[in-house]
Amino acid sequence: MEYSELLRPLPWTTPTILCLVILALPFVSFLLMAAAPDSSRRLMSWVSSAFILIAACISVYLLLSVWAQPASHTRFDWFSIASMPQITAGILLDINAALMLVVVNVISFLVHVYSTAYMKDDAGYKKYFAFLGLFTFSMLGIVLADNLLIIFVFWELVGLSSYLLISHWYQKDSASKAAKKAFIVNRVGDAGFLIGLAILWVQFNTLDIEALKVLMSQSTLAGGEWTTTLGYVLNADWLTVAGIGLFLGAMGKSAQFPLQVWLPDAMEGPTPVSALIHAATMVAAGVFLMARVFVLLDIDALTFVATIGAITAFMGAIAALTQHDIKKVLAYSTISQLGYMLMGIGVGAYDAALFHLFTHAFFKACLFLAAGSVIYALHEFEHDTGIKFDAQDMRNMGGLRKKLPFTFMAYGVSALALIGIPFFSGFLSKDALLSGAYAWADVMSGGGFSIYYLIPDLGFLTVILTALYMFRQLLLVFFGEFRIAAQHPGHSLTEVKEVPLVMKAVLTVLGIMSLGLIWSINPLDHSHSWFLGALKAPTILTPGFDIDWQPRLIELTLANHIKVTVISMTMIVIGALTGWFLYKPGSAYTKGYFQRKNTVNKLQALSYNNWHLDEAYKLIIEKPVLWIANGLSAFEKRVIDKAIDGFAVINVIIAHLIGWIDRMVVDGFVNFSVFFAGRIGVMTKSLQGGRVQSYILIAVFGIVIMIFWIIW
Amino acid sequence: MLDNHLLSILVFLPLTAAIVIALLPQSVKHTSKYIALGVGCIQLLLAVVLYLGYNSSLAGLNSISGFQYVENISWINLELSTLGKLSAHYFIGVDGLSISMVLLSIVILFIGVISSWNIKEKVKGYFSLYLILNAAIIGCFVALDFLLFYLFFEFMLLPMYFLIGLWGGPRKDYASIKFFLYTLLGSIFILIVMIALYLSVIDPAATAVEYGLANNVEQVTPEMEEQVQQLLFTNQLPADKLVHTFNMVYMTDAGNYIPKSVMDIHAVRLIFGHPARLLAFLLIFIGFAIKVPVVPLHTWLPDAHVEAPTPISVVLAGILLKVGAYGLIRTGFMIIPDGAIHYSWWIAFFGVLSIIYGAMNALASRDLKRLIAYSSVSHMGFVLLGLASLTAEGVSGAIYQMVSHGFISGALFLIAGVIYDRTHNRIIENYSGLASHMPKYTIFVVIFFFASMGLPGFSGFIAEIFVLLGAFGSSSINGLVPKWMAIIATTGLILSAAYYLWAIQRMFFGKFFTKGPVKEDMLSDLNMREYVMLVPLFVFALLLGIFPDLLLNLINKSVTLFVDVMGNHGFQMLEK
Repeated sequence: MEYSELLRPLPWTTPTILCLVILALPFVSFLLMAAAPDSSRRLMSWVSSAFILIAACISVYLLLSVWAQPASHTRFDWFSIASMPQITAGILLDINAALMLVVVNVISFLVHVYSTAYMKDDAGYKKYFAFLGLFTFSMLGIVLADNLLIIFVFWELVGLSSYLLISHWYQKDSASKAAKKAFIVNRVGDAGFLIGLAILWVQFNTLDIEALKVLMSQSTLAGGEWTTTLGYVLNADWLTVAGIGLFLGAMGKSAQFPLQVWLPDAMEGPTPVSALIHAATMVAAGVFLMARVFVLLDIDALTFVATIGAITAFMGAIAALTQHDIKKVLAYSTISQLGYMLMGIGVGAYDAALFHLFTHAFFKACLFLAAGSVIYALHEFEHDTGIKFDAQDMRNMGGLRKKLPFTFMAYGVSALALIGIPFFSGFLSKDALLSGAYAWADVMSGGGFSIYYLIPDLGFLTVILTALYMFRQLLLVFFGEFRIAAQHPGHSLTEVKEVPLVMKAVLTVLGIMSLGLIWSINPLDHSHSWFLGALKAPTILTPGFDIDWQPRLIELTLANHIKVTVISMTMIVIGALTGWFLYKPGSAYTKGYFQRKNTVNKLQALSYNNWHLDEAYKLIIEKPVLWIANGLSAFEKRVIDKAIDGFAVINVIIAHLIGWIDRMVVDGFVNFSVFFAGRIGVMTKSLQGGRVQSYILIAVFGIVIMIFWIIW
Repeated sequence: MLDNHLLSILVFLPLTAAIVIALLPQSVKHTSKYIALGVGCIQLLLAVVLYLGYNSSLAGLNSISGFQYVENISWINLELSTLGKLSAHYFIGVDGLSISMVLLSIVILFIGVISSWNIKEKVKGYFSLYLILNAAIIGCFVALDFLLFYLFFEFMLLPMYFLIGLWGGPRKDYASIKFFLYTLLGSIFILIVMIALYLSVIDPAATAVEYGLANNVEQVTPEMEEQVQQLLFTNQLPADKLVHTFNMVYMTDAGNYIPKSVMDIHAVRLIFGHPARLLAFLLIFIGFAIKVPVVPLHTWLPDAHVEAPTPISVVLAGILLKVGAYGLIRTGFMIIPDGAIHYSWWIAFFGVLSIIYGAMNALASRDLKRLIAYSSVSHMGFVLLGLASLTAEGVSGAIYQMVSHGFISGALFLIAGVIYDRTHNRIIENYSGLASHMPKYTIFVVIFFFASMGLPGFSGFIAEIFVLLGAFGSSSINGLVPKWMAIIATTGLILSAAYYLWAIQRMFFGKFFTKGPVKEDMLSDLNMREYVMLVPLFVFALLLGIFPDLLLNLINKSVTLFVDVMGNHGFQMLEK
């Protein structure tokens, strides 16, 4: 097919125009908040919340209208490079995008509303809301773009807004360092993303997703060479590299091993930001991206994705076991759950991965905002009583369910969803994911037993860990005695007050979304979910892909379902019981823990320090890079510049020589000393006088010294 | 009148104004800056006229008829008996490549005038030198005659030397002499090649007249030129009828080379066992590489930047570095494409080396201005890498980077100037938490730092991504640049995020305090004049980031032709 046909402009339609409106609303909100005077900040924050509410309503409308309909696609020419095919831009609204629009806008709206209370007294209130708008805009851009280049544009903008929001309290060194780290680690992923884009561009000369699908399916793989209809040939390995490159981008944003180190630090940002960006939406962008490019991945790239996902799920869950900080537990849990989702993509359980993305977005946002409520209440307590303590350290909490019943309810519901207890949303999606992973291992190992089973096994192990760390957290925060008050005689739990109504309202909505009934009429079987009914994995289009692979997966997923449910229920029980025995109020372990007296063994240190990844990076990347940088800088000063200075001395001698010749030659022109006339004089005179040779001779002499200098 | 002499007016207006300022009596010396501002305004207006009147369907580069706003007047004519006739022309014009540079220069030079507003000493001298510099820069970009180009190229050196040497910082003497010697050295190399080219190339039109095919140049038809080239090729033209030329457009045509001359394309001459043309390319490359600058020929740049007054840094980074890259394209690549292709691996290698080495040094810099200077080295590396790839994406990206870097680096040096104006200290560790003290300044710093690290939405993104795509694609298309170079270059993006964000973290975030000679009361936020300089640069960087067509429309035809010429003729020539 011709490019003019493949990339032809597509007209605007009502749905895509509405998408444009949705995209514009948060951006206008950003501009308004940035331009508004500080005195109107309260009013303006409600205005921007209203903007996002409108966007959320339109999103719901769009979701209903694209349900079981073909995608709406609008495309227009953006610019052209030399005589290459047009670079296009456009909006692609398929069911994935519509679902994502709803998630982003609804959660963004709820976070906006929640923040009006949570951030009420913050000096950077206006800036905060402006950047929320910017973030929402960028995130929606990723969702709606029809072109990988545009996705990359918004991808980086999301990184920027995340940077700006993490560094909201920029006076804190830890916050500004965390922001820097987040951006740089994301950039590492983006560099990989860029290489993925480059491979696709080189082969297909376009990055339009729809066009790529056509071109990819027309390309051929033979004799270790990947050939496209344009006649470009690359080694077959580059097809895998392209997929892994794109996945590197996802690894950065979705905090996958080994790039997950930025996410725990990002908790330095305000808690509602953690809920919106670092739990529900931005970190899910990687999963969304992989869903968008799913059909362009080959089997090796998919296996790579599954492996990284499973490893991350496990590593994150291990790290979540020993954290003291209430938000850090949730952060590591997010890493782990994102690992699940990407494992889902990798094992071909496309629909389950997206399903988990959506259920997770709601219950994790709920968890974060409930944690925010706890922190808020404790800050108020700190403020009222004058006791100084870390309001995020769970060792200071305990028994809060009595005074924060509402928060406790929301926390409990979403925690159960996260663990994957039946009747809650997480059960459905996680069940679908694990069934898919198990089926994948069956298909990949072709009936026998093989190393592929490690992937679902890691998934099951993570189920134990998830139950363990969530029970631990519930017990530490909401049960037992209120420890900070217990350490300060004269104070008690009664001084803790429940959070403002606005925050409660937000928690209610998110809590309801964590119930299984919302997502499936039969909350015990994911295959009855309306959600999965609407999402079907598209057929993979990479050349040489086994066409039986996907049908067999579906078949085996259904067959394995009961077995998987039984296994994961057992795992949950094991994890929950372990959690109960270790952390039940008054247990021997907790006594030492609360008094910070327990000895920390190597394994606990490994978990607490997130597998020592930060130290490893410091040792193998940060230090060497700085060492090389300083070394080069010293090299330049001591070696290059010294050499240049020495060379300059020789040069001065030559300059005198040239000057002498100039004097001899120019002679009568000297009075006419304008530089310009002088030059011409030199030129013409020396040409006439046959002195070109001498000029060249001098210059050649200079070059010889120059070459000598370069070699030496 | 305006259309016919637009470019001449652009060049000679500042020159005239420079003379006027030089002749002003001391008592009214302060009017000199208003004169400079007036010149800037007129040039801006003329730039608009130039932009609107430019026909973007013409390519230029290797055909005289493809150039626009052409003025071609005979300038120097000398009979050199056996050496034939020397003819240098006042030959100027623009194509897609040069118009983008001219427009960029006019904007940056205008902002440079505003930035010079608080120059207190030797005002007259400063502004007349500045205007001479202005004329030389624009002259350099529009000249199509090698001698004229070389003249303007050298001409830039002088005002630059004095502007750094007289109005610079503490180590100005060292910096200015280093700058001067380095650049002069480069010029000598270019001069050698220019002479060699001059000796090898004829002007077919003038030769036709001389040979008696026509009475004057106007009557010469393309057929006659072909006839002359045919005669030349078969050695039927007597030497005294040959009219040698400096015309850079003729130099791109293989038919105009005298058989057996030094630069002859058909029969390769060897010098010290190396083909003369390849050697010539190498010389030109080194000559311009000093200006770009390319590691390891870059060490004049950090010193010159650190010592130069702010407006001169802006002009230096914003425009002068581009002169190097421009010269390389116009002369090196266009005239000796075989050399460019032969050395493309090395050009790309030095591009990548500059990217990484510059970024590493930026990371180690303690001085804000030095950091920005090294970031320039790093970003100019992308230009080299893009050019070396000789793909449509790579070359477009390279030219885009030249323009984009002009705006963004200009703004970055203004930013360094803002802090230096107030405290006379640029050491990063002397500042902390400026965001709470100078919030507006911080906003601009963050914007331009992100723009410089290639954030989408700003021009640098378009430039760098296409350079990378081009460099990556080169091995599939023409096999010039290996893939690993493109992959290493992407780490430059990570490093640039590292040094900028680290600088933000250290200087602008954290608790507010100052150290050393920096006192709190010196730190006032941006003033009106600084807004006037920064906002337009922001707008340009943003516009070019969102609507790349604004620039690409100008250069697309030229780039297409360039890639085509290099890809076809270049390879053919190299085979010979």
